[in-house]
Amino acid sequence: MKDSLSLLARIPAHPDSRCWFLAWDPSGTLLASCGGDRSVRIWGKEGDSWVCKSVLGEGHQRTIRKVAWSPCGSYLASASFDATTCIWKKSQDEFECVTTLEGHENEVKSVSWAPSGSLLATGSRDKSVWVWEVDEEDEYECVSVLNAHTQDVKHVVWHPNQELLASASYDDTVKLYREEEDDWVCCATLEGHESTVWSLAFDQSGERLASCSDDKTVRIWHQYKPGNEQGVVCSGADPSWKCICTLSGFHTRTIYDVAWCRLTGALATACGDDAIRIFEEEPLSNPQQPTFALTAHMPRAHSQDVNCVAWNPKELGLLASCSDDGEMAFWKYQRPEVC
Amino acid sequence: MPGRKNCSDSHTFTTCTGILVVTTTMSWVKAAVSRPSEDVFDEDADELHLVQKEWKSTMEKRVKEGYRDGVEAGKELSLQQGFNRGYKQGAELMMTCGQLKGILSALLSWCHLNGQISALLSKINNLLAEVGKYEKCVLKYMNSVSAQPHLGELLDSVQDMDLSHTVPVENEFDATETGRLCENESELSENSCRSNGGADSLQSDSWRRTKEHTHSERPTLAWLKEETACLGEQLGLSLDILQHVQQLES
Amino acid sequence: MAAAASASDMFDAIVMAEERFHGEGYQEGYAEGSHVGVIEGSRYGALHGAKIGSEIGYYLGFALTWQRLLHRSAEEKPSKKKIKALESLIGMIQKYPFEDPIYDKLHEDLEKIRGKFKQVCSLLNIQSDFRINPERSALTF
Repeated sequence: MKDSLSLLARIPAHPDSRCWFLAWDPSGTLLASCGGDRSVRIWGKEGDSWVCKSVLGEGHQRTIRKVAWSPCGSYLASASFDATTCIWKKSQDEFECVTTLEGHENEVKSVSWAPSGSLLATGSRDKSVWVWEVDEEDEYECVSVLNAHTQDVKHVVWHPNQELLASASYDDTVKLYREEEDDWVCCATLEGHESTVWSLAFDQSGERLASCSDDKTVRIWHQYKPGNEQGVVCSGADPSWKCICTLSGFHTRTIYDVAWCRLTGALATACGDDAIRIFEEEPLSNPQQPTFALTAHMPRAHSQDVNCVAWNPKELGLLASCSDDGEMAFWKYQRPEVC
Repeated sequence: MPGRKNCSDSHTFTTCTGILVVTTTMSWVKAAVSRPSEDVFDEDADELHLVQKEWKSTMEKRVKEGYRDGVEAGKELSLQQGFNRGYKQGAELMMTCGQLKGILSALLSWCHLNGQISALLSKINNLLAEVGKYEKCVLKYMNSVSAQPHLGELLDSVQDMDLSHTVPVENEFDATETGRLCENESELSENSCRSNGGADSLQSDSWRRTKEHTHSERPTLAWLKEETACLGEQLGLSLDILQHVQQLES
Repeated sequence: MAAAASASDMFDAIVMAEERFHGEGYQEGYAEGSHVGVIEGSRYGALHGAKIGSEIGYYLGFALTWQRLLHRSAEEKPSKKKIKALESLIGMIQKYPFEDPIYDKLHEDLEKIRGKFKQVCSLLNIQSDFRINPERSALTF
């Protein structure tokens, strides 16, 4: 099983610091990393090796917790503990900070771009989720401040093809939001995790959402639209989200990140026990009650907590990970012959 | 333990206070029950006295326990009721201070954004500080009178607080005279604007005025409104919304 | 047997006496407790209500004033978004029964109003370092 995940490269991405998060650009050729050294680094492949193409060092005063590419690949957003979010514009290999979004009271923990590219969401320790609208002149205007969570917001992510936003929080819940009459409203609360929800990932179709938590489990939620065949009750026109699978007993510490490969459907996790694990849905399992099998387990993937896992959007089986040890690693995942 | 020997042959009972209490209790019960005939005990009167004292203190303890239980039960039922009542009063009273602060803060932020002269900014800041003082006064008052059973009384007190400090306030609280209030307000504003036109700082000037009228150092709602309206005028803004900033909402 | 019976009688007597005394104390305590409860509750309630009243008042005063400031500034066309957000905030406050402690969405709605206020500040370009925090005032408990 170990052979199903093999190391391709290991790079000291943010030496003497933590590497917090990674994001592949939509073309899959560039990888952005961010860390405790207050910098964003852009990595590209030259020949067989990964090299640093740019360092975005001037934007933030404190740790950069997350980065996100716009769907067009021309912009990069960075969320920082300095309470701001910077928007960087790419021209050739150069990045220029075009806007700094202010408004959060303290640490911004997450940022995500909607599939249309015209909306951006940020989540903060101040418990709020902000939705920003971008116009053609790169002007950002706040369209909503959502105070639905009762504790800090750890992660925000958009649905892959709808204007539906999800957030994960220290209050152990996941919340979903949609637009309603010029404002945004919380339309669902997913309860089940017994501790902080650290990260979220939609699958390729957007019908499923994976959440990972400090309770050492991953939960898979399924969207049921009103009038669904399974008879899951929905309130009004809003779809209902139901937990259809809980992956427990696999992880020994907090799970910090979960990534759903849009190409293969493989689910990767980043764990506080320094390991990376990959799960796949068993081929014959009932889609309403699926079972997932552990198909890869790399126990000492990093020397410290693994903070993030990111599947390359174009290259099958290419996975990047990063850790508190400041390093970034590239892995090749091959589905085992027999699950 | 004087009674101990009397209950050496008695049964033990369990009560909530425990066996030891019961065994000692038995002594004074025997004493109490048999007191009329007084032929059961031929011990000395001292012991009887002690036993009676013990009975008394135990019953006092029961009364106290009952009292404590009663207080708890009574409190539990009335706390929420009191909370609801106090909440309504507090919310309505403080809405006024909040509105004034909001108006002034809006003016302050507007001045900041439009690069207004610092003299105006410090005026607004001073006035905000005065509203803060007023708020503290109301809060203190609210605390001291929250024991009173009716909203009316509380509002009366706050009203008194104002009325005692300034002359033209009578109209303010008269809900039927909002029209006149309006006139009154603008007139006042003009006056105060004129008087503020000099080099005097807002604070010293206004404090002098307040003192002239009222012999008090406490800011009043009427005065605060008047000064705010005046500020608005200096910015070319008619703050008609001040009309709605009232202490009494009937 | 007789000794046991008499002990039992005596016990009944104790229990009755204890109950009676307890009951007397209870009644008196209940009256006092009710009184104290109203006062204590009222004090807590007043502080709590004062906090929310002040905050809501602040937002209303702020929004109404900015609404007038924007309408007045003819030099530049006020952005529709700003006007709309202000109107929305004012509408939310006017619909909000802030003085009703038993309104079941008291907290939920307050959070929504706070969010709208933050959005308004953001749209008006009022930075957080300047913003006067209505929660930070004489009413910090």
